[in-house]
Amino acid sequence: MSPAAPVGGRPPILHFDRVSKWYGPVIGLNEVSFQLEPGITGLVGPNGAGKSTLMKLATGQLRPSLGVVTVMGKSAWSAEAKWHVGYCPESDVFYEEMSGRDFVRAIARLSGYGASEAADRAENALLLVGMSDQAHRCVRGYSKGMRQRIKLAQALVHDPELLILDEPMNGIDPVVRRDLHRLFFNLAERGKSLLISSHQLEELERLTDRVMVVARGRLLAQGTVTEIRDMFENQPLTVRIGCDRPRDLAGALLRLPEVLGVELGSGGMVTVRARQPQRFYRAFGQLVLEENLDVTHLETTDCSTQAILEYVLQESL
Amino acid sequence: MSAVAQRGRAWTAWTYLTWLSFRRLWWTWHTFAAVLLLALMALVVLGGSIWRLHERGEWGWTAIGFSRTVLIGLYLGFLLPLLSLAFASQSLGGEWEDRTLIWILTRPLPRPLIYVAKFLAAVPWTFGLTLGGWFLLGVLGGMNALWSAAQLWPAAALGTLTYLCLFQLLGAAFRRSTIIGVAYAFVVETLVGNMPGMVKRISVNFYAKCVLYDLAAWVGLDQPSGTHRSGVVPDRAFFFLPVDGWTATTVLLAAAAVLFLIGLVVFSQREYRDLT
Repeated sequence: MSPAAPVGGRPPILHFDRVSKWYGPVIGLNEVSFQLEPGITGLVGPNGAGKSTLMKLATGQLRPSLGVVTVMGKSAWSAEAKWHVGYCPESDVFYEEMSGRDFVRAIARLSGYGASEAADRAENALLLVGMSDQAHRCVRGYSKGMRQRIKLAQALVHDPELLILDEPMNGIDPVVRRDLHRLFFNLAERGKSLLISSHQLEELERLTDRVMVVARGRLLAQGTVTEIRDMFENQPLTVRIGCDRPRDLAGALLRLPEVLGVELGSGGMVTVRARQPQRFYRAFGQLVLEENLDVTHLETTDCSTQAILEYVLQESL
Repeated sequence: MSAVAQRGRAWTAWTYLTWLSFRRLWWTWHTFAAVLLLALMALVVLGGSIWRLHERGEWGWTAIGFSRTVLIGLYLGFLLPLLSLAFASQSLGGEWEDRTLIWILTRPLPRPLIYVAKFLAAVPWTFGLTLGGWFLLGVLGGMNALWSAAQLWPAAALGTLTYLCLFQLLGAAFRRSTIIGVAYAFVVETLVGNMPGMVKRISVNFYAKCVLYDLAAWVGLDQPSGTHRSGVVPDRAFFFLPVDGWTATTVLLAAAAVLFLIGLVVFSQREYRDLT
């Protein structure tokens, strides 16, 4: 097993080294290796892909059948590693008899803080998730969104370096969602590492363009969406181009060998399907200069996380 | 929050976990069921006291009658495991069933310490219920009954300790530990524990009864008295095949220690996959 390479003199915040996990004869995760970097990373994959297994291994709820999972150089299973981890599970369970404030305080106290420090930390965490004014109410009376925010508050209360957030935006209204996005960006700017799983890929795109794609227990791709898209040279790319002379552009594009088809749309928009993205973009730049075209809009429509996920899954079959 | 996270202390976390677990055990449906059983038993004892007042003109049970019928027959043989189960299985098993165990397992606490905290949290409740019930029945049974209860309580205490360790182990090992615990109480403790021969020696209540017989002999309850043709001794020694009190005490304490250690190891190693 290869040792985790220290980043800036300290071990990586989360390191999976050839990790496999079996549930009896069923494989949950298969030879997964990665190091999580500071910032926000999205974890995407279809249901049953292994996302939950990966998160449970990272939070020390499961032990790998093979390989090593470390948090700051310590085994994720150990109590030592858990000082560094904040976990927001997808499951909706609480100490229902408590108020939101008491629950977050209880988690702070279970993290080893005395009563007054736990109270201060709980107030800070509740403030961050916008629940200060509702925290006196009993958890069992909360809406789905409020429960979700209390779960986030408990994950933040001990100020961990690594946040593992499983579907954190479930049931949260758009206004609070925007505030939480700001909170996640702020945490990332402070050097925290956030691993966020979500079924809502558009949501995830607003948070980060760095993703890990998991399917059938394997880590199929990791990197920015663009980097991953570039791995699929033969996968046709769809680009929408706005231009002052759309017909001339369409004609010129058809002469390029990488172009598979061109479609003229309304408002001077041209939709082109091309293979080998890098070569296409080089040729397109050349063409714009040669034809002296005024390009007003350029958008790759299938470079979304959803499209990437579909390509990766298709390629892995 | 500070830029560099200031760590909490494991000791503080552990003491809080013990307190939180103790507090959360206060009232569950298991407690309700246990108290209901105890109340039914109290009615039986009270009924016996009223019957004696009506028939003999004196309130309460005789010491020998109370010890044989209530303490040995009903309490040690039937009620004690069920009362112990109420809190012992809930301390860990309840958190697992409710899936709130996730909040504890993801905290920076070593698992053996969590197990110890959960055990300690259940100790006052379990002993409070079993010994409280023991003495309550003594009070309702009259002065002689209360005297018997006061002389013989170590048998109930030793039995409670062993049951507590056993049911906490079940709580760590099985998701539906209450059902398994109830099945165990009926099959092993009530059925097998009252069978003739050596097979009953796998039950806890056999050893608790042996301790009780030894204590009864110690305070002179083993001698016939009044209308009782025999004292607090096994009905037919060849049927019961008792061991002496010290052996029984040693077996109960050793079993408690071994069960506790097995539970500690099981909990420390187990993956609780169904919490999220």
